[in-house]
Amino acid sequence: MSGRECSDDGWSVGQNAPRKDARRKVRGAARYGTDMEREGMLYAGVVRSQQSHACVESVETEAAAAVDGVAAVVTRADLPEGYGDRVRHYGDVIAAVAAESREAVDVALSAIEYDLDSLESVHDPREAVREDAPLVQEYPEFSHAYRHPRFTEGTGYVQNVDDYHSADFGDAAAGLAEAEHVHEATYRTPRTNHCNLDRHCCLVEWEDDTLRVTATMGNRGHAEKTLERLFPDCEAEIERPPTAGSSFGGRSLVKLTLEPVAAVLARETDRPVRLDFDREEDFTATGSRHPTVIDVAAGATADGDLTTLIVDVAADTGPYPNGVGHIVLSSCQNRPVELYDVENYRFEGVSAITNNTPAGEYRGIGVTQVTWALESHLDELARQAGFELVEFRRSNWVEAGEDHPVSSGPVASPGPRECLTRGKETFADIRSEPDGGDSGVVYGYGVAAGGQVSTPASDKNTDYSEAKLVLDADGSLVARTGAIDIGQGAETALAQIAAAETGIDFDRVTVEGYDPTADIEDKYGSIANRTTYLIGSAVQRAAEDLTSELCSRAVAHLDSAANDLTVTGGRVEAPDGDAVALETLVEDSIVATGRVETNTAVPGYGVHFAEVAVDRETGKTDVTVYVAAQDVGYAINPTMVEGQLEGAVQHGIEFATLSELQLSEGIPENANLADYPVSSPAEMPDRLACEIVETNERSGPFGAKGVGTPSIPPVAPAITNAIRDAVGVRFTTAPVRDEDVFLALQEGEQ
Amino acid sequence: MSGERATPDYFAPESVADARRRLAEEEGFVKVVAGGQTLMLLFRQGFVQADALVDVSRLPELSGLSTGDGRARVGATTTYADLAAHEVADRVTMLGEACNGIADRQVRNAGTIGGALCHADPAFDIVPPLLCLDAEVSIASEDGHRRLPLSAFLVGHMRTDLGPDELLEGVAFDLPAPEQSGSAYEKHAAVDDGWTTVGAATLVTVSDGTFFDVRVGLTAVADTAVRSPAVESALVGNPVTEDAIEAASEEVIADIDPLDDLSGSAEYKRGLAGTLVARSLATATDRAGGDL
Amino acid sequence: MNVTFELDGERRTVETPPDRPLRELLRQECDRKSVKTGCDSGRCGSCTVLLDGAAVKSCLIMAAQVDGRSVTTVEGIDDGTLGREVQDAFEEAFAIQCGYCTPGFVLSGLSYLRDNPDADREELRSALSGNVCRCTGYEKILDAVERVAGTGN
Repeated sequence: MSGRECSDDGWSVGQNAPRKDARRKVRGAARYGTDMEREGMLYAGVVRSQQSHACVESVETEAAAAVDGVAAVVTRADLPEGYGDRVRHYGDVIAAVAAESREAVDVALSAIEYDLDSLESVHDPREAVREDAPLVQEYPEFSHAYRHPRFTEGTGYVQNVDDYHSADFGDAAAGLAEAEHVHEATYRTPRTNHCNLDRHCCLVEWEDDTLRVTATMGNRGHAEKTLERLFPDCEAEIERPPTAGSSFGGRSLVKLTLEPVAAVLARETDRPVRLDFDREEDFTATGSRHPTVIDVAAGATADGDLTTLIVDVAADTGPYPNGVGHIVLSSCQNRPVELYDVENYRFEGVSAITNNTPAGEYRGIGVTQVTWALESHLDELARQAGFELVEFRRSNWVEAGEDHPVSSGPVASPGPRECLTRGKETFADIRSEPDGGDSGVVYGYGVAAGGQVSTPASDKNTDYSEAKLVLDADGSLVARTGAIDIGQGAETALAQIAAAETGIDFDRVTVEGYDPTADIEDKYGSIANRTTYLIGSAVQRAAEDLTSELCSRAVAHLDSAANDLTVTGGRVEAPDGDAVALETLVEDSIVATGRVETNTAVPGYGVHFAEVAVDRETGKTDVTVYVAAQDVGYAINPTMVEGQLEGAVQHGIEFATLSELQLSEGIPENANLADYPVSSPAEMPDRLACEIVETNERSGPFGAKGVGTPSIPPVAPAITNAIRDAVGVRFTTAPVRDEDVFLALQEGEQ
Repeated sequence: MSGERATPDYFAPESVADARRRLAEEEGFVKVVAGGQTLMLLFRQGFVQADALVDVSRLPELSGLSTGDGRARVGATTTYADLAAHEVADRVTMLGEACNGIADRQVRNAGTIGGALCHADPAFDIVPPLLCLDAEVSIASEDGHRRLPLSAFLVGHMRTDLGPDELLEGVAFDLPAPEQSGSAYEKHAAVDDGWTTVGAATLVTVSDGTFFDVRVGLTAVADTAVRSPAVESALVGNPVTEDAIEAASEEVIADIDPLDDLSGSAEYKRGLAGTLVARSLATATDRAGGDL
Repeated sequence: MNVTFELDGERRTVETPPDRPLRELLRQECDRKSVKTGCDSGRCGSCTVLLDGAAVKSCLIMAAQVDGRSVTTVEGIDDGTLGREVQDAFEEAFAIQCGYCTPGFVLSGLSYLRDNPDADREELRSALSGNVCRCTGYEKILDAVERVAGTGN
């Protein structure tokens, strides 16, 4: 992007400051979780269930324990209370081994014999919550303690309920009855996986009652609490590996078959234990995206006023609730009416406990699913009613200043309208103008809007973050926060904020990743789209605190009041031009702290445009042109923002057209990178343009809000709306693969 | 019990005769190693545990790609990259097109033609062009050498006619006459570097505005790659027209028997086959100088 | 068996089972942690190294077959070489987010550019298909390699 070059005083916000972590990564010096080794460390491995629901009748470990180099063998019975004697998903733990070498681990694992007594299992979320379904989990509280009361009486949801939400306003039934145009449909969204390349890996060690876990963990605080619940009387400390791999939500939480298992082995052997997931385990024993079934009913007046929305969701959380089902339902409940202004709304949602592989956080939790359903639905309603597709959206969006009807507070940023205008213009410029020569290929165009919030804050949930800035006597600055750089550029963006606010040269600012000894409070770490927005705000506050301290110290050196001084270019300057270097003001070091709290999760919106080319005879569908117009508040680092948008498009393309972790009665069929269709450069659009819209969010640092998650919800529906445009078929199950397009077209021709 | 797994014995014979001796004499399960692109996965995933490895990757007798006397000879250890870079891949376009779509560049740099043919995966892209060329495999065996058509070598799903102490030496085929012949490879895959759903190779010779010779080969449509005599006989002798190609391509149904698998359903593959054959034929015909 | 090969310009002899994957040999015995372990199916390409200059996936190469050959990892790239140009282009183009795939992409891109110095975006999409990235959507990776080829905008 032009005009974003370095200013004279060094890199500031709004500029493409070079990434601080790039050099070590590109030169091969970065060390990730899976690279971890420690002296005296034992390797570990797990015997995992090949069935989706069974009682562990017996486990024979003597032969394994006798293998040379084996230090410990444990069984499920040795795991903390709550695991019980049942395995509840493919990949659940039966036994585990720690040994001196990977080879010895493998030999020992093969020597373990066990007997499972198969149990009836349930795999459909709508079936799981009925009375006649098998009970999956007697103690759902074991895996997640913070669960608000669920009032399910009279709902028909009898058991295996992880969470339940409902909300309504107006009179949805009446609204639908009165509407001139009504459309009802059911949508199904796939179980997709992040496929983070740096697989899960933890290195666990006990020191008396301290349980030290080194792992890439986004939500460190929650992870520590989870481990402390599983191992009472311990104090858990999460440390990070030197470099974190990517997360997209996949690394936010403790995984029941990873860190706790390693902890048991570490306690048993009194040595550090390293346990990782191989790729299959990374697919099946972690948290994929919640599959959902979403019923939508929408009603509009004759002149295009959307009056009524009814949304009903069933989500599949797997056997061990982890709090994410709640987020899925909250998002599905709130997002629709944070974007669309309707008089009548009814939402009901259940997150079901099943014997499928576990679901967890994945970029745009719940909002990705519900936005796909809703934007597909409104597109279809508009088509059936003869409304202009873009205008129907725009005219029904909420206006800034209106109150959110279900979540709290007013809608602050008017993002979507400007995104629409800018995106539409750019799309018109770069879309293809096919000459109709190749009659076998048809083009289609689609638009979709979506929003997601930054931070998990709400009126019932205060989010908070602290940052510490330490100015050294040599004038260099270190920032300590709850963030880790999971690739999103936290190390760089937070440094830009600190540099801009303090006037200290960006090159002299270092942002250290999360450190348990840093004594700062941060509620959620690097998850939920909050790093730049909230942690960045804390950094900005700390920087304000620092400059204030510097100015008051400078008064002794300059003939000015503290209020008249400015900190810039590594000095404190007075209006008369006199200045004192920062080094002079620092004896040992100066520590400044900033703290921010919020009860409002700020929405960010995107309006995306997609062009697809469909080969009617093979169903092959290519996304050819794509415009992501995204309201980011303010781009601290515009090129890094583009990187977020481009990555979101990649994951959205997978959701829309390519990828699904297929389970058959809970048994995975494609849990490896050769069989699970992961996107390559060929699947990305031929032309991809990013329109960065800056609406200046007052509560964010320099106006910035989060980008990582709001950028994904519009992607999949923009693409499948384009497919609808191209071939005249509305697909209500994602992914829409080439085969699905082909078969639908064939059916249409019959 | 030892904490170490048994390491296979490893031999790098310096001649085919030595290699064959090893295969005959070594006890247990002996695996021939060429490029290792498939074998290393089978090891890692625990599907294959070898007691001995016979590495033929540097055997001079198995290497080399040459043309002469109107015939091409491809040594078993020729990599996909070597083949794609050789002028024979330009001359017989379907060979180059098939090669360049196989997996990715890294795999093509190490994976061998011989390894592919011996693994006999029914969805490999290299096989249909070779079937169209009526390729012949050469095998080092007890009495020296034996040759048989590739179609006879591929016996079933991942099964070949190769005996326990035989060694594939290479594959050979007559080069199509450059004038009036053309070839093409068409395939569908859900993602780049993913499994082939269906692939169709065609080799066409035209003469005086009619189809003089037609060869059609498909992969991922049966338990081995196949030729389609139904399409071939429907087209030979007919005038070179789009309609003739369309009509003939529909006959492919008679020669395929696809299964549901992760790359697609049998129904989809049946639907794709005719289209890909037709497109491949149209391109091959065009390259042959046929006026469509 | 003993395997002797050149690793980043230095002669090495390693004792190893013959079927040990080169990926594990490089990471453990040779401490080349830049060679990554993203998958078990030979798909992700994060283990890519150059074997006699050709890009290969080291998880699919048997230790025995490296004897007498040369292996290059990203840690062996020197100033003033095409490899360094590629690395610098990755930095300048912001082609790195979490960075796990980066060493593999650098080597893949480098080896392709050696043989195809004027590579354009279209052919690069296919030439780099053996390397998976989860963060970038590939856009800026393609920008970076195009930049070295001189074919980008």
